[in-house]
Amino acid sequence: MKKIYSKCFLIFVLFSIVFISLINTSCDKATLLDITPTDRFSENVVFNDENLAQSLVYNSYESLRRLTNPAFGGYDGITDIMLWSRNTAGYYPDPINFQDGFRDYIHGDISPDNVENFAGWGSYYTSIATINSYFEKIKGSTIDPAKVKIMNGEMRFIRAFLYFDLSRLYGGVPLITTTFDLTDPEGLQIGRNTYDDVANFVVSESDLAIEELALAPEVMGKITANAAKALKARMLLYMASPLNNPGNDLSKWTAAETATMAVLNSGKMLAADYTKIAFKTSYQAEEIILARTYNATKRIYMSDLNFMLWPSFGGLGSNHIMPTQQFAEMFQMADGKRITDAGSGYNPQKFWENRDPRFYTSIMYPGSGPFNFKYDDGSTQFRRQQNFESGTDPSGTNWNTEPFVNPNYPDRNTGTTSFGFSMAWNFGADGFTYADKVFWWPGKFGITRYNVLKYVDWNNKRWDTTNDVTQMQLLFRITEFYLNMAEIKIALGKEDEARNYLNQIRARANMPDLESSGVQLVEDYRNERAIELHLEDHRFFDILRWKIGAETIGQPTRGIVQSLMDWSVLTHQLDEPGGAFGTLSFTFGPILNQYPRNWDDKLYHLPIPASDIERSGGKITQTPGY
Amino acid sequence: MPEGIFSYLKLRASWGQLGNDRVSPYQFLSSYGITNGALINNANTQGIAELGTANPDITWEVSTSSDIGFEMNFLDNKLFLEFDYFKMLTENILTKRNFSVPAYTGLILPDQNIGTMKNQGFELQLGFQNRVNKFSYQISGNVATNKNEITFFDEVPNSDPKVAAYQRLTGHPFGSPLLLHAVGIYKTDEEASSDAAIYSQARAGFLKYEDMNGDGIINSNDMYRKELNPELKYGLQFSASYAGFDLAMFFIGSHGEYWQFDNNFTLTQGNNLQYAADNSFSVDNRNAELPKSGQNSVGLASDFNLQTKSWFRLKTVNLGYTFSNNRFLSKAYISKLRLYASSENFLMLYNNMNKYGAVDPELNSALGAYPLMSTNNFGVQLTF
Repeated sequence: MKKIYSKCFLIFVLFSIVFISLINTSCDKATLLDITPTDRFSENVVFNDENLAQSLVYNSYESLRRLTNPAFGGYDGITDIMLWSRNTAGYYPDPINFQDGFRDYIHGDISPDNVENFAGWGSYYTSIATINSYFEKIKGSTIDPAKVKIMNGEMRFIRAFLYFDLSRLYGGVPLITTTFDLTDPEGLQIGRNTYDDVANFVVSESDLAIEELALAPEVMGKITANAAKALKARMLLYMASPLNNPGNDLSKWTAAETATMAVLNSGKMLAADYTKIAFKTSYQAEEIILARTYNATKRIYMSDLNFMLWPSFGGLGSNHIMPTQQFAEMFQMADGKRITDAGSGYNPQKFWENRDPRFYTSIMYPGSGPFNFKYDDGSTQFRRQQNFESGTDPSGTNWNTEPFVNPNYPDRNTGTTSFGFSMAWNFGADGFTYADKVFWWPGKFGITRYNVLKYVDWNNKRWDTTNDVTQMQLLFRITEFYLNMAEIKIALGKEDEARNYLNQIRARANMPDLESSGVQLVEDYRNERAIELHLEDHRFFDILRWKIGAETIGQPTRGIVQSLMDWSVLTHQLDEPGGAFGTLSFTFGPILNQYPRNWDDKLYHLPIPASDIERSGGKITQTPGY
Repeated sequence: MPEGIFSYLKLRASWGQLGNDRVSPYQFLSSYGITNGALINNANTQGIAELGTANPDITWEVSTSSDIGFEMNFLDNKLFLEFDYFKMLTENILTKRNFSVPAYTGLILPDQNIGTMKNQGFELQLGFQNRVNKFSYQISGNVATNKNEITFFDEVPNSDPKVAAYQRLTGHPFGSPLLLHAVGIYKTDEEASSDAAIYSQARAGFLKYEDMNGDGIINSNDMYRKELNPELKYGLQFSASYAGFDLAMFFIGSHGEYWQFDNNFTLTQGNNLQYAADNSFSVDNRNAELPKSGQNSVGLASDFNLQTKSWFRLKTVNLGYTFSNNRFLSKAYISKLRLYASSENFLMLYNNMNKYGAVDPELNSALGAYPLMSTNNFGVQLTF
C-alpha cells in the first residue's frame, strides 16, 4: 500500500510542477488566443506597402475584361456586320444555337429575369466596390505620394470605365462611390441615378485621372493619362449621340469636340500598318492608347484563336464568328465608288475584283488568298477555300466515281443525292492541285461563307493550348478618335473638316479621298467606322447610340447562300495541273436556318435584374418597356 | 401496473446545447489574399484582392435540442420497442445575406448570425428476438422522419404582397425551392401563342405554366415556394444463427426525397437518355410525356422536373460459418475460425426511378455521380 501511495504522490507532484510552470512562464492568455492568419495580408500591411498596393491595382485591371473575348468582338456577333455562332457539332457552326443571352437579345426575349445571361451587373459592382474601398483606405498611407497618385489615377480610370460601360448598357444606374455598411440594412437600399449623373461622373473622374496619371509611364498594358483623355472624349461623344441627346443640344457635341481634340493632340498618331494592329508582337505604340495582352498561361480562350476563327470546312476550324454580306457590302471599290454607284464596275459574281484594299485583309471569302495554314504538327500548306454546290463533273478522272455522285449523303429534305463540297485548293508555284473534299448537305447550315482575318495569327498553329497568345484586346486606339472627330464635325455641320479626318484614315489604306456630303457622308462615315473598328466591340454600341437598331440588328443576316458550279464553262482545263475547275455563280440573300430577329425599341437599354429591383426595396425603377 | 407485462421499462429525456462555428475562418478580419494580376509590358504581375467584407460581430451558432423517449421490453425481453421524439431549435445560424443584399452594393458577403430553424421528428424501433433450441434469430425494424421549418430567414419580400405570400421561404422547410408550376406542354405553335398567360419564347413542345399572379405574363413572379415533404426513412434488420452458421441482413429504404432533373429531363445515370429520347415531344409525337429536347422552357426552373423518390434496398448481407473448439484447430492454437461472405449494396429491391433509367436513387443528386458500388467480400477470421 505504502508503495502505491508514494508512487501516486510522486506522479502528482510531477504533474503539479509541470502545470505550475506552464502557468507561470506562459503566455499571457491574450496572445495565446490572438491568432493572426499567415496566409493573407491585413489591411494595414497592404495599404502601406507599395508593391502590395500596386498588386491591388493590377487585380482591378482584370475587371476591364469584355463579356466575350477580343476576336469574338464583344457584342459584334449579334449586329449586322458579324454573325456569332456557337459551334455545337464539332465542325459545322449552328447559328440557331447562340449562347442563351445573345439569342434572347435578338429575339426580343430579354427580360429582368434573364438579362444577366447577356450582360454583367453584379460583377461590375463588385469591381466598383473594390475601388471605392481602395480610395477610402489609401488615405493616410505611408507610401510615396508620387506612386500613390499614379495608382489613384489607375483606379479612378478603371472605375470610370466600368461606369461608362454600365451607362451604355443600362442607361442610368445606381452611382455608388462609397462602401456600404453591412450593419445598416436600410442603407443598402438606394435608387437609380440618371444617365446624365453617371455620364458626368465619368467625365469628371476622367479629368481627375488625367492629372493624376501625368507621370504614369508609357508601357504596354498600363493605364496612362492618354487613356483617361480617351475615355473622357469617348464618354462625351456618347453623351452627344442621338440616344442620349434627344434634343440635339449642340453644346454637347462641342464639348466632345474639345475633348477629342485633346486626344488627337496627345502625341499619338495613326500606325503605318493597319493589318498588324491586333498583335502584341507588332505593337505599334504610336497608335495604341490602351490594350490588354495575353500570354501562354493567360489565354483568351482555352485553345488558339485560330481554331475559333478559321473556316470549318475541310476540318480546319469552327467558324465561331463570321463577317456578313452586310459587312462585305460596306467596302467600296478601289476607286472610291460605292458598289451601288452607277459605273462602279461592281460585279456580284466577281465581287472581290477591284475592292478597297482592306477588303482583302478583313474578309476571307471563297477562293481568297492563298493563305499559309499551319497544322497541328507544324507543317504548313498554302490553301484557298472554296465551298460550292455542284452538278456532275465531266472530267470524271478527278473524282472517285463518274459521273460524280456523292455516295454518302442523300439530301434529307429532297431525297436526291446532293453534290455539295468543300474543296481545299492547294496553290503551288505552277498551278493548282485538288486537296480534300468534304461533303455536306447544301442548305443545312446557315453560314455566310466569309471568315474573319483581323485576329488570325498565321504564325500560330490551328490548335495550340501552350503558345504565347499574340492577339490583344484593343481598348482604346487613336484611329477611333479620328473617326469620332469626323462624326462630331458632321454633327456640327463642319463637313469639310470631317472629310479631312476620314481621308487621313483612308490614305493609310490607300483609298482615295471621300467627296460625299450630307446623308451620304454620314453613311460613308458609318461604313468607314465599321470597317476600321470591326471586332473591337464598337458596332453594337454605335448602333444603340445612333438608334438604328431596327435597320441593323433587327434585320436577318445575309451571306452567300448558294455557290453553284457550272462545269460547262471551264476556267481551268482538265489537262492542266489540278484538273478542271468551272465557273462559280453566287447567290446572296438571308442565310438559311437563322434565328428570327424581333427588334423592339426598348432594347436600346437593358433591364436591371429583377433580383436587385426587389432587394432595393423597390427604390430602383425598372428601365421603361420591361 | 399488472405484474410481468414489462420485462424492462425505461423513460428518458434529455436536453442539450451545442455550438457550431465551422465556417471560413477569420471573417472578423478585413484581409487580402493573392489572386490574378494583369499583364503589364508583356509580363505577369501579382494581384491582390480583398477576401470579403469583415464581420466583427461573428459568433457561434447555437443549437438547443431536447429529446424524450422510452424503451420497453416485453415477453421476457423477446419483444422490444423504442421510441424517441426530438425537437431542435438552432439560432444565430451562420449564413450569408445573399437574398437581401443587392448586387449593386458589390459586397462579398461574410457569414452573419442570422436565421433560426426548428427541427422535430421521431424515431421508432420495434424488434423481436427469440431462440428455439439451436436456432436463434432477431428481427427488427425502424422508421424515422423529421420535419424542419425555417422560422427566420433573411429575405426581401416581393413588392406585390400576393406574390410575396407564395414565395416566402420563412415557415417552410430548409431547401424548399422556388419553382414555376408546370401544367402541361403546348402541342402546337398556335396554342402557345394564343394562351392567356404567355412567355415570348413559347412554341410547340414548350412547357405550359400556371400564371400564379394572374398578370398574363410568365416570369419570376409566378414562381412559388414548393414545400418539400419530409422524407420517411426506414430500415429492417434480420439476423439469425444456427449451429455455427450466422446470417445478418440489413435493408434500408426511403420515401419522399426529391431529385431535380435538368430541363431536358436527363440524369447522368443509366440509360436515362433513352427514356428522354423516346418520350420527348416532337412533330410526330405531340402527346409525349416530356417537352421537346433542347430549349423547352422560359428559362426558369419548374416543378415539372422535380420527382419524388421511393426506394428499398438490401444494403448488407453477411453470411458466415464458425468452426470453434475444433480439435485440429486447437492444435494450431486457433480457438475460432470463421469463414464469411459479405456484401455491401447487395440488391436494389424497389426503385421508382428505374423507369427513367436511374439505378441508384440513394444518391443525393441526380446529376453527375456514379451509382454506389456493390462490394463483395469473402474472408476468413481467425482468433488465436
